[in-house]
Amino acid sequence: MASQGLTYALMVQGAPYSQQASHSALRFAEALPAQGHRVATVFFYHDGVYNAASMMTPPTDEPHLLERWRALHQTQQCELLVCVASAVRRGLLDHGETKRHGHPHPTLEAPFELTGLGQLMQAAHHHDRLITFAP
Amino acid sequence: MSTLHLINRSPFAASALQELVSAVSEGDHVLLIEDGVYAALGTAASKWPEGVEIRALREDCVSRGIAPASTLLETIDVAGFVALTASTDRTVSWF
Repeated sequence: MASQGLTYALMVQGAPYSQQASHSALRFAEALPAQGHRVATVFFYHDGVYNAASMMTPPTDEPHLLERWRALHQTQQCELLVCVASAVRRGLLDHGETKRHGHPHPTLEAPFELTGLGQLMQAAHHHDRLITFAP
Repeated sequence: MSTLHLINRSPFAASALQELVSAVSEGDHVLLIEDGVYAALGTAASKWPEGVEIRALREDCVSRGIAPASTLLETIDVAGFVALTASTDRTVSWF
């Protein structure tokens, strides 16, 4: 079974806690290994970039989406790519962008990475399936 | 080449469903997810072209108070969703 496993790229365009996209994508990704597949890349685009907000602090009785993404990264070794153009204008900056723009603290941290649309094209090309979780 | 179409918009709130209906071709699969499952209610289900398999995601039906038995469509769980993406060649999302 594992030898026939597919690799998936998921694109998440919905904002966390506003739309269902993050929940749908996580639920889907977490169900992949049972059938021998794995998610290799998650690409966060448009308002989906807020999924990477490192200071996300939801109430303790609600799903912690940032932790769920981190856990997914750990269990399936997937890359968590964030569109840099969508992210920086929304205030999500990694260490390098923080320094470059003179802000005090990064708001995006590993395992999330700022990348460009080229990486989305590459993921779509290299992996067996691309599934978009729309806003 | 078979295509799986995902739709997450309610037919009562957006035109995405009508656009999807006009774009599907024989052998395609459709999966209603999120608010898209509202299309599983009542007469909305009968407008689909022939040769297209339409299903609804069970969890999203249940979380909206739609009992799977009350829908006119087959419902599948997330494992079924995964299996559909693997058995079709590509997936298109409508929103």
